[in-house]
Amino acid sequence: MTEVFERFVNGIVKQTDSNHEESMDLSEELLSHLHCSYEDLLNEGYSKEEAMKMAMMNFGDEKEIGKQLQQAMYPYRRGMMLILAGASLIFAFSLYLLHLFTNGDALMIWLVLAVFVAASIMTLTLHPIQSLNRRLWMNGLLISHIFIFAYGGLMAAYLDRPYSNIASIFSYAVVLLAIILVYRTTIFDFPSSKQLLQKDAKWIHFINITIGIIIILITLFFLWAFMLFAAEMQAALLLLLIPTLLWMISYAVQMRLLAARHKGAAYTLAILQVLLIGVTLVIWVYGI
Amino acid sequence: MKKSLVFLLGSIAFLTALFVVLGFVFDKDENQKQNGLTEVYSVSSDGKIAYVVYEKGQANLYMTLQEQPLIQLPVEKEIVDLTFSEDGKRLAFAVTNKDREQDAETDIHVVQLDSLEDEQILSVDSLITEVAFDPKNPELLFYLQAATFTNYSPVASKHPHDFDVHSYHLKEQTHTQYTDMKKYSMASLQVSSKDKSVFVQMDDDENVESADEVFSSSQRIFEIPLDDPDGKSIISSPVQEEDIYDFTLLPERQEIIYQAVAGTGKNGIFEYELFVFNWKTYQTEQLTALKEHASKPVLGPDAKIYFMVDRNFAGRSPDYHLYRMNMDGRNVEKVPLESVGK
Repeated sequence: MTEVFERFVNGIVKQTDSNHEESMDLSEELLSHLHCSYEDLLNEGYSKEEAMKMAMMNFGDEKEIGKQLQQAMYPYRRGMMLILAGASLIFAFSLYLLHLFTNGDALMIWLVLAVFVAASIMTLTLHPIQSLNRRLWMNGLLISHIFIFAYGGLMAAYLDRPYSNIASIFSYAVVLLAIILVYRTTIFDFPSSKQLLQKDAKWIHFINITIGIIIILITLFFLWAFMLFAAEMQAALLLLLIPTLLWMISYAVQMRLLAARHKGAAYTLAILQVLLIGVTLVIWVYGI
Repeated sequence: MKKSLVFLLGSIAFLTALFVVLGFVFDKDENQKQNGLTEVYSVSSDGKIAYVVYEKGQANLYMTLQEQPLIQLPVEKEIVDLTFSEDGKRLAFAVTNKDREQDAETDIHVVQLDSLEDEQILSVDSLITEVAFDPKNPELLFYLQAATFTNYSPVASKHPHDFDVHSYHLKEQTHTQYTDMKKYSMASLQVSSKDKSVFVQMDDDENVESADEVFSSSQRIFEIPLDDPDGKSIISSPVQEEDIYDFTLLPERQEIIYQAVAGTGKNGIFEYELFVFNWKTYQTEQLTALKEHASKPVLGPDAKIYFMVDRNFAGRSPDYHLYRMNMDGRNVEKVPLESVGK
């Protein structure tokens, strides 16, 4: 009987984005409900066989329950991910064909990278793999997506009007959705189980993701401006990656400090980081 | 993995592979992308117009009333300037490589228009950007030569610099360099029909010392006496602050027709119009109001001003159209060119 119930529960849990630990908890919870229902049915005078079948039948269709659980645990997450993957694929194919047939440029490497990232997001959404660390993989994919599609947005500017305007707006929308999903994934959907100070972790994540996005956009802007005016790529361009690297180190240090319950130190570092970016931006804007 | 997902991923992979194959088939070499009319043209004293049209990157030199191109160049070459001799019997043009980074050499050709015989008369290892026959001597061809093709800043692309005025005598096959200015930029070469002098557009940067002053210096029209290049003088309005780009001189009317920025249009793109400046009365008037990019004014034998209009200025590829108008700016009309867009 337990094996049958476990198979049934497993079919439900597979429909959700839960990781291994969460799946175990969820399975345990669902199994206890099934057992209670089974016991009640036995007490009402049903046979073991009948009680088992009725307990599962009363529970409902496993796929339907799985979907409802997914929606309750992560509202609209799957829909957002599928919209992102679908819209990204449409954008990648359209931009590639427009560039090819209006400018004679085949952006083959970009197309392959863009399709690979969008198809991976789609695959992991439709076929969740519980053994993978979802947060690391999902955020890795989403950040790669932001870089690749922000670059696609810059390439859209080289098309003729009105294609350039339409493609640019499309790319901004796709990148914005990916940014929202990075916030969701990190802060709300999959918080780390290692962090005991969950509320503070959310704040530190929020500050760092925002700074990270600003740094990535400024880095891409400088890269684009350089490519616009300079004839050839230079090794000195790698210097542009220094702010991103420093941000990554600082982010990791803050999360370690928070995990070790050094709340004050983590916040101080986060605020210092914000001030540094703010002062740099003010000097840059008013200095020109 | 579900069958539907496998089918979906398979379809995406198939589409991607198909598009990559299409990419290999339709990807164009940089040299093959240029298409349509360019702003390189000239009007002869008997009303013929020579102009350059690109077809799949190949430069074709056409002349009005001729169906076939006079000259067809390989895709890696371009015509940077052309000029008729005063008697309308010769057409000279300068040919450079499109990829100047690799090879900044220039060939000058002359076509005898009665026999249509093309002859390469000169080849130099640097860039020649403009050619102009001496109206007083049809054997003497003047040109602007840039000694260097470089970028002075690491964040700038390479451009021709260190300009000077040169000439080549067709019969004697002799070369003469008149100036030693090494100007950062020099354009719109015209040879005086009366004096031994040339007119060019340059930066008015004689007395500047700092980089800021260089940026704030204005583009002016200079007359350079060939016997005494240091005695050059500004002939455009000395009081106006605006930059002057292209120009044509009308000595009999004491007028200069020049191109300058008239305003800023939608999307923040500058609108270039043609103006007339009278150096006797110091009066300036705006001649065109097309709100596009008017350039290359040329006086035709029909007492009309011919000029080019780029209807896609600051766009990805220009869209040139030839226009003409009366000298006072009235009766603006498009000049039909048979070989454009065939």
